Amino acid sequence: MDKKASPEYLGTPNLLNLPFNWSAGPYLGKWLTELRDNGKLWASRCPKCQRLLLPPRIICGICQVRAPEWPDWVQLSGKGKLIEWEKVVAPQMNPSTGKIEPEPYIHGNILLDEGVTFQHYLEEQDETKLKKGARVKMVLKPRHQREGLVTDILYFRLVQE
Amino acid sequence: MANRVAIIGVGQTFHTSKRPDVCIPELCNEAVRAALEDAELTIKDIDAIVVGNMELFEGRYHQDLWQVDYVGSYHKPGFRVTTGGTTGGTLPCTAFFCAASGVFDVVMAVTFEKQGEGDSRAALKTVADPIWDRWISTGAIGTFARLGSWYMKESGATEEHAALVRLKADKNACLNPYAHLKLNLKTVEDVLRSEMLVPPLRKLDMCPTSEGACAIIVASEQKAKKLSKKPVWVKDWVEVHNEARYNRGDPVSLENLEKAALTIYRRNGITNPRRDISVAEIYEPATWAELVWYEAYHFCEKGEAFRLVEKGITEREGEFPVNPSGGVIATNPIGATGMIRVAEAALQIRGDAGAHQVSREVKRTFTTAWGGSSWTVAHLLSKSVD
Repeated sequence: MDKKASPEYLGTPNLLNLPFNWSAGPYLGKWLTELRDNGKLWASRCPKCQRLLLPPRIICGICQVRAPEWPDWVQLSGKGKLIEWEKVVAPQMNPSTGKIEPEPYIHGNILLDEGVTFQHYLEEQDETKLKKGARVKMVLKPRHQREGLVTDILYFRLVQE
Repeated sequence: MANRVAIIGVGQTFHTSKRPDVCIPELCNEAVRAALEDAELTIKDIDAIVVGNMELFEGRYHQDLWQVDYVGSYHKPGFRVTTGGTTGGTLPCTAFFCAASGVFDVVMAVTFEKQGEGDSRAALKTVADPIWDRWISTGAIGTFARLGSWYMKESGATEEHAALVRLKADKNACLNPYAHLKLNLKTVEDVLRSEMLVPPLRKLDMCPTSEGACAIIVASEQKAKKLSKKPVWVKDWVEVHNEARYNRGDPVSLENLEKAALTIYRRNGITNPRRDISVAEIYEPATWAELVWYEAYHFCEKGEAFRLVEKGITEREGEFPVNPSGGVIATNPIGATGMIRVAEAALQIRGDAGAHQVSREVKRTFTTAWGGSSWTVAHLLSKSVD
């Protein structure tokens, strides 16, 4: 046996595949139910600083006061303007499925008219047609396809207004 | 009133992209032995051990249990800390808290990352809220590309300035025996030739994924004076946490970085950081972050960071050296990265950094760690006890 040969470094490959089911809780849960059943978008509001909380939550982390429960929320129009976008060209894994998402795709950061930001896919895939400040509106999946997930919103569409 | 504490030993492994020759606890053991040797102590002198690394990166649960034999925590108290990208910054704070409280006299902190064993990018995506926005998160490259384009527009800096930051990092890393990437880059063009990831961010603008470990030994004032010839005094530390929301609508988020620095400055009478601090070792995962964060840390006025780099002010031999170790752009074992900043700063204060020791006298150092949702940790170390 050749004692001078470099040692062989062994490893053990593994693909972790564990099922989870995360509770949305009463705030985000109600938000998802409203989106699925009524196609409505809401945000809770801090009673002290008055800012909108999206996702809706029980507490304003800054003021540390409790936010009211639905229906004492603000209904959002689903309309707003594009602040910025990102064209994703590198393959990205969807951490919920472990599968690689088809790319390229564009997602954007949208300032909703009520003054709160929201991130989602954009319908328009031609970057040259996108402009900062462009008007966009939410497009939902058809009712029978909605599952109580944020992705019940299909994408945001450029609109002329 | 808390006790004063000092760092009395530091140890690091060398860094590279893969260490198939050792398992995780063996990697940690290398850093532990180096720190004990540096402090001229044995494991019997250590009262408690705190450990930390990123969750999920290596897919192993209860790392602190698996490390017991190898880091010497058999029948000793301690715990594991994991605060995302700031883990390496929070872990020394944990050791400082333990010794400053008077509960323990001598505490060792051990941190590592072995990124080659998992898929860091996939693991990082799980940082985002699993119900709200995990499906849309794209990780660090997009973040720093946006930061670069924002800064170019705001300040008039160019891609050449980012390249100068990389050149500085590489020059320093080439002198640091523990650094990972040593590329011998010579010119701005050498950097600008590198592959474009997302404009204006090139491959050489980003940090690598590294494997390595770091350990430090912290002692109460009384013990430090008794055990150590060159104690490095811990003057202050701060952790700034905010709401866990990535999408606040701002193109960049500098609030936490600024708050961390200004808190340290205010509490320690620092009115002119470049004069009052001798060396900074900051957590800068990308060239553009180094530039923008000089401004967030008030090392200069807004829009002037690229001028500092142009003038060579933050070079190892410059007026205000930043990251003489080569920094995170050259070496990034994520969970350990923040603590390497502290270890490197301690070496600079002691004058023991070797080839990458700065030329100016080192009295006080400022170190940071940064992570998800822009959490920021900062520390102030000092040569003198008062």
